[in-house]
Amino acid sequence: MLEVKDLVVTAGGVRIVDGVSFEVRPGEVLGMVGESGSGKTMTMLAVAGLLPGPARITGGTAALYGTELTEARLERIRGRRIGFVFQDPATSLNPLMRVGAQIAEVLRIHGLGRTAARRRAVELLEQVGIGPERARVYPHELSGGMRQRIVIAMAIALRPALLIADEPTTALDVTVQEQIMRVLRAAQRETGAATVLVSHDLGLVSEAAHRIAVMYSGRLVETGTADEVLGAPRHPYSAALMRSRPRIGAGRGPLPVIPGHPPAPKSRPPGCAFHPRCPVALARCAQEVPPLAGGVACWAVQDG
Amino acid sequence: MSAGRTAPRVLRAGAVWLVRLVVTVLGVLTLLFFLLRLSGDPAAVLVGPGGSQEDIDRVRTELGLDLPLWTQYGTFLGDVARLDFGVSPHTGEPAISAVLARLPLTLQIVGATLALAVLVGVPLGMLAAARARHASARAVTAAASIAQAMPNFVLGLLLLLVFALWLGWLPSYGAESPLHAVLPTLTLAAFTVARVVRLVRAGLLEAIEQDFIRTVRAKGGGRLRALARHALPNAFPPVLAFLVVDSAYLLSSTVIVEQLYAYDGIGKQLVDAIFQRDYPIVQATVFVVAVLVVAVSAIGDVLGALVDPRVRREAAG
Ligand SMILES: Nc1ncnc2c1ncn2[C@@H]1O[C@H](COP(=O)(O)OP(=O)(O)OP(=O)(O)O)[C@@H](O)[C@H]1O
Ligand code: SF4
Ligand SMILES: [Mg+2]
Repeated sequence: MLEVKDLVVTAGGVRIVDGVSFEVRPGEVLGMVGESGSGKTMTMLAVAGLLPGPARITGGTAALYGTELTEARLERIRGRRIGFVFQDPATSLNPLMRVGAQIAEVLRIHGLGRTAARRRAVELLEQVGIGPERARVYPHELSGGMRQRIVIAMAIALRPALLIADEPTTALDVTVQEQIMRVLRAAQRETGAATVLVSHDLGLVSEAAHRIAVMYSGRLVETGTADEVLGAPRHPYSAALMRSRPRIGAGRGPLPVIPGHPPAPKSRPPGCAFHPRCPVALARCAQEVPPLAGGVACWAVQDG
Repeated sequence: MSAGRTAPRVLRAGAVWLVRLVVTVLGVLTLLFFLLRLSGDPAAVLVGPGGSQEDIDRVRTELGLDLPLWTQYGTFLGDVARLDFGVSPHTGEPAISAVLARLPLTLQIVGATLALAVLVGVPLGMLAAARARHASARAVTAAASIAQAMPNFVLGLLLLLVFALWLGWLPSYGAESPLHAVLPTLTLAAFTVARVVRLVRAGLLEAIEQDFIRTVRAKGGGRLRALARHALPNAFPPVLAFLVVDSAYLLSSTVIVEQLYAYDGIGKQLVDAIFQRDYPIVQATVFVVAVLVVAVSAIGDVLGALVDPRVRREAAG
């Protein structure tokens, strides 16, 4: 059970994540979607305490099973209670270390003996569909898909309570994407971890996620079950996002796109950040930030 | 990857190394042979200012200097193959033994310099990177910049002045005891250690920005583990490449440093030999140094391949 409340992340004086709250229950997959730069990665890095240099948490809390995730606590439980799968498997492994040793390392860090760790690393390799003889190869000897399996094996090694996968398939070939998602979902089901799946790919999210959170310009604009958000989005941005999604058999016409660009956090418009692009904007939208109420942050929905 | 291919790979690397050794040593010695023959008449020098033309001619015949150049070159190559560089006309000792007798003293200060580079330079570089904004790290970086910019004869004179003449803590010349090696080593090591500090610092600062460091942190690894176990090996190749090139530079720097401290290694011996036109000593020294330089670069290749599996694969072809 992950609870995030009013999370604020600031970089260079700008709030790149601006008051985000959500929950993920055990065994549940939360799909986090939104255009590039909307703050999905920063939100999840903040939860895991892995923010890059200039970015800092400046407000809010995150708690795992009721225990607040302070920096000190995160230092102890990262890798054990929280597993992280990154976007680019080409760069997320140490090129100078055998992959088996890299999997074993997470077990060693959290107290397993050398031989036990090695044995368990081989089991994990098998669990993600890699032969045990590959434990002794180096990352450059593996394909992107294989490397991502290694990263998944490391993330689930200690059966974490929270599994975060940030665009786990974006950097991979289309043919491999499906395999990796199968591996990831199997691992998720097997460990029962509360899971956050960050992705641009609505198709992928609709298959894997129970619930969905939509982000726009550092804020959460809609949450709900996958059926609700995908089937009947209420926020004008979510609705536009769903319409822009390619569908099989939906005809050949050009995909509808949302006119305009998402704002950079430092030039975020006042009020509802979406208002310059919103087809149904009201007068107050440019002045007041709509709160997330009943799963939607929109004045038109709340007042209408 | 498999054990079966390891043996031929090692053999092949060994063969490449041998060819490199022969080509380098032969090239250097050939160049030296002709330069020496063009630079004046050793017979006249040996006989001295008071000698008659007959004396000079006699010495010339004894040394074979009256024969055609190509004949001399052929004889010379044959001698080199037998490691026979002739006898020093001044001491009567075989040149190669004279050089090998002095070699340990030079290896002592060059080896100590390389050891300092690794044992002091690497940790200081790590400190400078780990606490990049801290005052201690800035002091280390600034000191490294100064040490790196200072020519070693200036530094040598400075150290001599302070530690030998003013404080009297260390001997100022000679090579009788290990204490005598301290000032020459410090003089040689300043640049090397400073450069290693800067290379390690820069390499680590680059490496800790890499995604795989974040992965280590995500696994629960502490900052120290990320830095020492993961970033450091990835910062190692440029340091190694520098140390290989620098070893050759250090060997040539001993010419100045040993002279400054009257330290009896092969650097000082070489300078003395040049002034006395002692060809056998000069040639034997050049031979030994060329072999050392090739050997160091072979060791560098082996270490590089040990650290980086991608290099290992390239080397295997
Ligand atoms: N290292 C950084 N330092 C400062 N600001 C950053 C850094 N990385 C990203 N940002 C800013 O944070 C904002 C959110 O970025 P984030 O990477 O979380 O977006 P995202 O939703 O994950 O996008 P994408 O879909 O492209 O991965 C961006 O607007 C970006 O300008
Ligand atoms: S709050 Fe206003 S501008 Fe924002 S989405 Fe709703 S209607 Fe559009
Ligand atoms: Mg992202």
